[in-house]
Amino acid sequence: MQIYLPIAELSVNPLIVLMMGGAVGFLSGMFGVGGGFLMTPLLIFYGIPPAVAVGTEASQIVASSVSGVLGHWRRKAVDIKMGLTLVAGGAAGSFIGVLIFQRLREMGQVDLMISLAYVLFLGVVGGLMLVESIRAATKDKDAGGRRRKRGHRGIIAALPFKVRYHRSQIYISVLPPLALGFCVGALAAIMGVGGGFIMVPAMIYLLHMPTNVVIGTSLFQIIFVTALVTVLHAVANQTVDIVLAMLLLIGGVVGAQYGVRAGAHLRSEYLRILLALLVLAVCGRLAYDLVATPSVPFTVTEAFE
Amino acid sequence: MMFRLAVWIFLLAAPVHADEISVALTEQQISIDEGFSGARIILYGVVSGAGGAERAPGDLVVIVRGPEEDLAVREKRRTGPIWTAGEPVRVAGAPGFYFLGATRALNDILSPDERTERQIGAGHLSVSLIDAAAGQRSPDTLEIARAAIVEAMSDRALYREDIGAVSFLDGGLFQVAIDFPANTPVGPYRSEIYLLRAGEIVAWRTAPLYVEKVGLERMLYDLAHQRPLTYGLLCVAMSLFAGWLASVLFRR
Repeated sequence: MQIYLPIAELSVNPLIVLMMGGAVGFLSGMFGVGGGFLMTPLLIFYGIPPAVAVGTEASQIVASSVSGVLGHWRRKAVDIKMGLTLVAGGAAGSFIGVLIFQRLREMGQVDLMISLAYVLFLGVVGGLMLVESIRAATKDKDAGGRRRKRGHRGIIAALPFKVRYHRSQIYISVLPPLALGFCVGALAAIMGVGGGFIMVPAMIYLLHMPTNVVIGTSLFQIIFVTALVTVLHAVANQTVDIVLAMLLLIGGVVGAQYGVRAGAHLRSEYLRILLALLVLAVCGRLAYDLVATPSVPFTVTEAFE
Repeated sequence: MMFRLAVWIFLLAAPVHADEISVALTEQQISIDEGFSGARIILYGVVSGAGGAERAPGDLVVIVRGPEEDLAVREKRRTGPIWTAGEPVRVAGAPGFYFLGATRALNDILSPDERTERQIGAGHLSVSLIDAAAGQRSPDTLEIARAAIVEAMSDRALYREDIGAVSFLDGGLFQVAIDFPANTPVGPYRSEIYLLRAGEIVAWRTAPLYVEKVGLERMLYDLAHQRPLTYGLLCVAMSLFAGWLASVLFRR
């Protein structure tokens, strides 16, 4: 059986798409990661045009973040004020991101930009994750990290426009969260990711938020930013495929539920090493496609005015 | 089967004059719906007239071409370690779909000039550059762009030449199967049927064909392109609802 995707304008096997959504959802449930950074490359490997993969994945992340945030909401583990500060920065970032995306699409260079962005981020995130998980597995404590942390606090403490965030019990300038929100919003627009893998460590190490509100607040702001990114991509590029999004989010939310349960029973250090290797493998495949001699020496695309 | 039989009877009943071609398609419209994964259409026809069934019917060329679209061709080149696409050469006049079926190899049955005039063969498509930059105006540019388009579109199964696809049955009857892939562009199509004898076109016919999105596919596509804001909000609403529903369903 095949299903025709109205925006991607090609037909896909719905079972394969459901399984892809389920597998990535399982991993994201198990490790508490968003999964966008794996889903978008998988869609590209499957043959979905990269621009459609990015626009569509944003709308899937809205769904997975909503189902994720509700639990944190009930436990009052969401700093709404901080979340909205991040959203304000994120809104500006996603506008700029979609503008860059649209411009590069018209220049015929958007596929290249998406691949480059993924190679860079998957390489860095996968590499860091691998090092960190190997250290955790071998119980090797890092003493160098703490010194760096203090350096950041010095710069951030000196910034003006200080605001009190009661839920997080911090008193800091609004500029760092706005800038952080901006960067993650731009990433969401360009890569079709939620950006939790950057947001969460940045909240802990840069903003010094307590860890119990970090995940909930990150998911809270991701909902708004990816919802905005979805609408902006739909308006500027017409690259959001609602049928593909539906298939992915069904697979994704079901997979995530089983992932959460599986994660509770398994030793995570070794699984983290596997996840890191998976991320690096996806990165390697994208990098190979950029470097390898192309089979067709030309690209032929629709001509924009 | 009954339909095919009716077509044959209809075609055989056509009046006999000079060389004439009568054609019919199994369908005149291809509908892209939720389950569309490509389609096959059979073009039936009969060659009738002078000599008719007694003498050799000659050779046939059947072309089906889709709606034209402006395309951008970019040469890939190495920039440091990676391959990037260069400045675009913009080309008008290339159809989004091109099928050619013939009874024999084209070189044996038609002169290159005639092929160029009638655009018979993907290599003879009449394409032109759109406001080309000064450095792009060499005649080679157009040839390279045309070859690149033919290669890329063949790769996507949108251009196909199939020598031997047209087969004569009894008494000047012929048929050819045309496959449309899942990524077939929508719009008006045209089939052209040429009858050749001794290197000359002695008769030709055209028949229209349409590829259209229907039902839900059409509704969503139109909404996404004509009311993109509504469509975007619909996508977000669907995601919000699905996320909420999932957390309710799976709540312990």
